[in-house]
Amino acid sequence: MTGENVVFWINEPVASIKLLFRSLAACCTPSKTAFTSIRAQLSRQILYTGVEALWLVGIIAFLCGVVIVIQAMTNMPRFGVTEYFGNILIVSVVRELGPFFTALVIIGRSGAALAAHIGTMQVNKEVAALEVMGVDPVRFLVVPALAGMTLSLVCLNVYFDIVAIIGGLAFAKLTVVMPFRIFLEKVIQALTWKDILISVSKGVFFGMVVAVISCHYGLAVRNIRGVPQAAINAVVGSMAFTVVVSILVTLSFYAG
Amino acid sequence: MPGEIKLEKVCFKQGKVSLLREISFSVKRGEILVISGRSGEGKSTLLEICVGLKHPSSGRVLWDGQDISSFSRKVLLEKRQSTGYVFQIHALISNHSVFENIALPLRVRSGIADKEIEKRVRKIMDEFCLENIDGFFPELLSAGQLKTVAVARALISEPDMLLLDEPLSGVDPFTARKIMNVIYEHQNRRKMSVIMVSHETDLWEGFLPVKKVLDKGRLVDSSEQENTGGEYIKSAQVLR
Repeated sequence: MTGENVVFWINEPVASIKLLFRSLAACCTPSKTAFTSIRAQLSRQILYTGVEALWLVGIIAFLCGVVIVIQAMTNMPRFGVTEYFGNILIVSVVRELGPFFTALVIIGRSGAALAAHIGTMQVNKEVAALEVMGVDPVRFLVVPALAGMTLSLVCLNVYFDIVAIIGGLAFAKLTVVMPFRIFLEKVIQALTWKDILISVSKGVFFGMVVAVISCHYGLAVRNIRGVPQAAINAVVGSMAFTVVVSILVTLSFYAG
Repeated sequence: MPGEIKLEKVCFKQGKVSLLREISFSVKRGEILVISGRSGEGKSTLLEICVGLKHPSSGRVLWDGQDISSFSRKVLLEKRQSTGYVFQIHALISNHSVFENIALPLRVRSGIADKEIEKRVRKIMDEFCLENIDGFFPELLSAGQLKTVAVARALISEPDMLLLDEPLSGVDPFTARKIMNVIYEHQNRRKMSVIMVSHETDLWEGFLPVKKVLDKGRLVDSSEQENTGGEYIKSAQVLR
């Protein structure tokens, strides 16, 4: 790794964190812009990131639930731990896979698109036009993206968990390895408030990570050649940071 | 009166190339400065420096006697609300309709009710004959319509300072006349300080614009260029 790469990997997270704090500061100091022009931006962000991703997240979640139940039903009896069917579904889906798969879908669908959109706005001088009108681009572009993505990711995350559990239950009912009622009871018994809290927390943090990193790379674009590179950087950066944040959140809940 | 802009020995380097060299001028309220020059001389950069979008390598930009580099970001954004700027490319917000693009500068300002915003936007759209395309998005507009909307957006907030970067490039003569007529009306009424980058230096009939040419990084009077047989002026005369 060259010195330039090291500087890049130090500077980029620092710049993203700065942008996050600027956005949060803008959220805390509401102005008229926050409730008029930004409202439309926010609705658009929720539509693109949340509503339009429902079908894809739904399919992945359903299949994920089915796969986990297949694996559990195939392997768990060998170890004599069939009573933990519910736990395995909850632990894997609600705590880890749900937030992570949802984040991956959002990174690929919306993170890249957001970086490319803001990058194109930079090239077309739209961001400069906002500046000369006295509109803070962070307030106008980053805040709605941050709020919209975070809200969408939390909702999609809950949706993923529900659909994955339904998928697992449906498959369990079909295969009749375990009576459906018992399986359902085990799932409900295994689900705790802590699991829901960890899932929602991850949704919030992942949403913020994807939005801020995508906006950061979008705003860093200086010419048209930089637009595809911004999309790539947004995807790679978001994935890397999502994994790091996932580990940190899990550690903060379960360490010690 | 607010709206005075002054540049003191502004230099700008792009990489190792000195694009602008010791540019100094002052435009008071009601005055008009027209800057022309060859492509790539740094005219757009000069305008961007005037509003703080680019920072000079050395020298100062003063608004109403205050150095803009001393402004906090918040203050700079507030001050820019009384500035109208038309970019060389239209720079309209792509996911906003024509109406919303024009309304945007007013939405930023606090204390203007939505009804008042609508009234003012309708009025300026009427002046520019844009009523029929108010719901259109920028991708559906022609080059002339895009420029017209950009000028309307710059004028909607009744700015003290108006900066125009080739506002008539790619615009047909009829639309160009329409745009300039509305700008004249606003200038007669509001006496803004205007800096315009344009190759059409004879546009401001009835006004007394100061005409300067950006030549090899230096800003010189057009009369001086004419006397010394400057290349840009000679070429412009040949074309006419």
